[in-house]
Amino acid sequence: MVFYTIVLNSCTNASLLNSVGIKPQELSKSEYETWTKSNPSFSKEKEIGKVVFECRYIPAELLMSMQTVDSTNAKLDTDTIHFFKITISPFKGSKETVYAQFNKAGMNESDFFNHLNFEYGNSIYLTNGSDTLSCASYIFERGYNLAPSISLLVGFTGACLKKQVPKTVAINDDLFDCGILKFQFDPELFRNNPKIILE
Amino acid sequence: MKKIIHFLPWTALLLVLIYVGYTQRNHKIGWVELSKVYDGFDLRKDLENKFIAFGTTQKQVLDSLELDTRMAGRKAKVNKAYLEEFEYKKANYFEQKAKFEDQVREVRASYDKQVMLQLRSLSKKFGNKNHYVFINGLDESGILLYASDETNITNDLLAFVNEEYKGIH
Repeated sequence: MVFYTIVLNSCTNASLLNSVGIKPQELSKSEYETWTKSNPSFSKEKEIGKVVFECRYIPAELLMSMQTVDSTNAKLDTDTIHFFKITISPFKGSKETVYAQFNKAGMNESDFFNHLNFEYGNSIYLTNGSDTLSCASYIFERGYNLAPSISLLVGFTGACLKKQVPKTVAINDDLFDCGILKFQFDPELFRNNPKIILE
Repeated sequence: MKKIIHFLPWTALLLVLIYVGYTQRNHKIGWVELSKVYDGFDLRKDLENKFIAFGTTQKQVLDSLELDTRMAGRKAKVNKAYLEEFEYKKANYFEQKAKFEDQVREVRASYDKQVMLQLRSLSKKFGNKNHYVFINGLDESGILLYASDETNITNDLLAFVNEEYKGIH
């Protein structure tokens, strides 16, 4: 037990902890980012037709540390709020932007981005056991066709999220006509995540 | 030297076996019953439920319009002053009905397209993962006339696509 504590407190290599399946207790912001990126269970991916959908869990703790507000005084119940970053990219090997892969007839570029800005969030939801939650927050990161992919940050909140059941992010994709896409995350992923040491 | 000569045929045999195994692994062929995979795919079932819900809502709207038109027809029979109102409601009902039928066709076609798109993508993933050279689809067109039961991978593919659809991996 003493050895375990020493290892946890002294070990700063997030990837190493991931490889042995141990969750660290405290990490610096950069280590936290490395830890989430190197953990494969944080991200799920699906390639459907010409589009690749990636859904990545972003712990609220990490998102808060990125804010410019003084997060030391902010209180956040990280058990009842979950954020996911959805990235929609062209298929692997493609050099075009995702808009170029877009094939829905009768919708021009401005309608396409307006749909992403204001309507696409309504087609994303989280199922948590028998509960279905709509997005509590939805942010579309516009790349002005400079980046090949599109990024969306979606947040879900509710007391029911404390339940230890698999959580599934579902996208009812009507834009690329891919149908319903599901990304299921293990409940363990949302439990006992490390705290960020503020620098 | 004698020892090396003694082992040479065995080594050659081993290499041949490895080569045969490798080529066999890379030349797997399978076939699936398309209708069984299509019907058993969970996305199709989910979209079917959505389609039923959509159809029910539209039908309720149409039913109330029909009732309203019938009432207007009865009133027009008694009093000719209501004839214009009845004609307007009748035209509106038939217009809405045609619109509804078009919508149903469009939604059905869109859902079918979505199911086929995901099935194709997931079948590609299944093929790559399990080293299939090609997977044939058995349907009523008769393109595939015969295939042995040993190469029937319908259940494997169906289990794979449903697992992938759930997004567990």
